[in-house]
Amino acid sequence: MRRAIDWGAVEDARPAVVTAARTWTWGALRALAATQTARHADCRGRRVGVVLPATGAAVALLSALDDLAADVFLIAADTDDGAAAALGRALGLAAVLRPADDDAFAPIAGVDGDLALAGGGDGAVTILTSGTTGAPKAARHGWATLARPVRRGGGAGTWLLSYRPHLYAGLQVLLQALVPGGTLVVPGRDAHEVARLAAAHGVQFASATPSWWRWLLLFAEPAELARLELRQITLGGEAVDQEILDRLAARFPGTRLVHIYATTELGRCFSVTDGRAGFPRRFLDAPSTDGVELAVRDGELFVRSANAMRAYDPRSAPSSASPGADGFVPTGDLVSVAGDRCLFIGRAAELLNVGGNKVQPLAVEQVVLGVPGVADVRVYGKRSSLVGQLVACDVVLAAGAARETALAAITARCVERLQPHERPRFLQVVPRIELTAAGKKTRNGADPGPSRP
Amino acid sequence: MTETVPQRIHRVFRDVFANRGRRSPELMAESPLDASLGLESLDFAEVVVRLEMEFGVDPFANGVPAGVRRLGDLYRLYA
Repeated sequence: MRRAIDWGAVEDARPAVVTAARTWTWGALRALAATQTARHADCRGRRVGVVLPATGAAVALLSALDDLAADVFLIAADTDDGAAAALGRALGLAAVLRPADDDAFAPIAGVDGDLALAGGGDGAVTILTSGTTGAPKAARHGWATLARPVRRGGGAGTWLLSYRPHLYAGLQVLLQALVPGGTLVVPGRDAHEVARLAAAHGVQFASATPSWWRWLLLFAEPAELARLELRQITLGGEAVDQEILDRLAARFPGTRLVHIYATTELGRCFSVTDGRAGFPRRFLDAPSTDGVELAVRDGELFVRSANAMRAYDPRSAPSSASPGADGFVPTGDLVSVAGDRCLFIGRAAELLNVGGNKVQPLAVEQVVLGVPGVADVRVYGKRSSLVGQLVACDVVLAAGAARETALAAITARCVERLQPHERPRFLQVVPRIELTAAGKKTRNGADPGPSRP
Repeated sequence: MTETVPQRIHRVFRDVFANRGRRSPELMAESPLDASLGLESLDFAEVVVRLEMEFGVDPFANGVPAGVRRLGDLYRLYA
């Protein structure tokens, strides 16, 4: 982190991290990093947890801990002290630091401090993935590999952080903004505020999930969005469909649209810039310039990557997606190859089982999204004691759309386009689709079963 | 006036028919719970999920209970 950033090249007065509440300049970051290196000297070479908010103080702390060659474990900002301490004990951490007053961080009590378990001394950073499925895993990276996809040409830009900073995608945006000496703008969770803050601070680059972009287009005022002068929009974290690419192209003409494929474990794998969903089939033919190879096996995307994490932390849950003998790792993403294009058709883990028939929620969502008046949709499984699961669907209607008309149109379109077992049997209008901490929709295992209305 | 258990069950059946775009047949305690009622297996699975939403219990959690043949057999399951 500290070593990845060219600290000397940036003017003190340039904003480094901006939130709605305040701004940390590069000068302030430098001073804070020096203070925190001194204050946390006892963390040198240790395994240290950090409850990580998206603030300048947190960036300075990460830099200080890198300076101290600590092994850093990133913990979600909304984790309470008890849960963070339990995590610290489970992972054998020497300390867990959380934000205190005046940009300081302080250790949480109750982490006994396993000082015998020293870190690797090479400044590793471990991302504790919550994941959309399964137990948390601890993916161990090095700052250098995390920073490898950062583009250093083109100067220092201003980036919008839509992701939580403790997850892979958030760290990528943070590093992309700060390694070249740019500015990171951190909005709150209100769409109007996102648009206002981004416009006020001249955000040029914004990276988010398709679900997040759909949410912004739905809830921010068109006039607010029109004030943004974005050079590039990046989509990632979920399958990117043509519908959202087209909506963004219409709303932000002249803005470059990029969708990237990355996972916490494999790092950044590839990006696509032609405005079309999926990726060119020729990507399967040869390794990319940064050492990523792709293959489709039994309809699933496999990746072998030089940007991959080092390992899972040995004290956390092991991965189910271990590389095979040839080093290729299954991604769990299902791909269909059609002509010159590979298209994402969903996640293996999200497949629903309706009376023995497989249903891909993403495919159903694409049908429903094509209905006029539908702004967003989530398809998921509702537990059924008789047939396993039944298809359920939450829809968000566009402003001014008539509810009964839209619901009738959705039903008609599903009858026309989908097999009987694929059609949603539970259809409801919701004000918004809730997203995970990583900004993604949950499609399977999200519904614990029927509940009373 | 509050609905009786049979009335609530009939309402759920009518909803499922309506969601399929079909008119509900006349529902009686003697109506057989098979294809003659016009419900396919996934429709009946939906009925059971909606009855759980309505009553908060799922008597089908461990399979179809013995002796369930007619609509009236459901009345006692959800009573």
